Amino acid sequence: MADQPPHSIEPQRRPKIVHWLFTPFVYVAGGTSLAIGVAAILLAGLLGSLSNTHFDGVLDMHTGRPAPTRVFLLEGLINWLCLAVVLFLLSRLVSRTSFRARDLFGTQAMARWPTVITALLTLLPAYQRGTAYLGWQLLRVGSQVQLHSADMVLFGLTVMVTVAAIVWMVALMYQSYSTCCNMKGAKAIATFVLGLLLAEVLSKVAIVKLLIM
Amino acid sequence: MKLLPIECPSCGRKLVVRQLSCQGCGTAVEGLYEIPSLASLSRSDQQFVLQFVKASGSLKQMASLLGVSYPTVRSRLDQTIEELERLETEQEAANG
Repeated sequence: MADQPPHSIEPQRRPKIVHWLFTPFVYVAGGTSLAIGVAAILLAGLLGSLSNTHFDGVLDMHTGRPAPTRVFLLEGLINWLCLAVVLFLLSRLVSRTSFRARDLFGTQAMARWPTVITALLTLLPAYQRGTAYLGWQLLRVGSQVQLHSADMVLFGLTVMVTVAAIVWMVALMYQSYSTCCNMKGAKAIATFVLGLLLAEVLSKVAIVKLLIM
Repeated sequence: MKLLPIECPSCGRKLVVRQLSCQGCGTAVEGLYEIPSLASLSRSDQQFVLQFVKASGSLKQMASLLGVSYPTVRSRLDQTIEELERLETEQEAANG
């Protein structure tokens, strides 16, 4: 089981890249994760503003609506805070051990770093032509766009990578919750899913109330 | 010196100490002596407790020493506490 995160108390050897990708919070938490996470959230917002891609909900990503740059930046911060606050309150109720709020808030911010990848993908011309094509075909929004077969393949691939990145982000969010609040098993999964659903609703409401209305 | 066995290799139950010997004069004391909870922990748990005490009980220092994050060490400590509590409960039940 060479790729499992280490649990022995021996000083750890240099973590492998796979550990950094899928179990980063075994190695990093607190202030470091907070700095990396907030930087990633702001970068994703900035990149999103270039292609009008909004992260308008904890798990949402929508392309098309133009808005000032600050809206793109604030959306990411609202998403992070909504989930972190909800999970913090839930774990205070159910976790049997004490934990530091800054670990949970920091690692939840860092768990959002795959949104940088999805925001980068939205800058691809094939993705932009694909969304413009769908916008015209389904909603009659924008102008008619010709979509070539190469565009279709690239657009399909981009969508698949985006979905995979969101699944990866959710896995990191769970790992953050499980590691920082020392929660395991069915109780951890149930409270995490509940927290994710509550935070999704809360973030949608907060974004509409604070940034759109 | 060999490691102290904690569980019976045949039936898996807890072992007790039957004989203690003086390394100086060879005097042997026989009886049925219970292994303390700390000594009943796994070798890895015992090493963790030892390092934790040496680090003055600082989880932050332990995290830095082991190259892992603070919550990882915290979680490891909680596991050890749970294991100690389980052993104590078992010993209390065995003693009636």
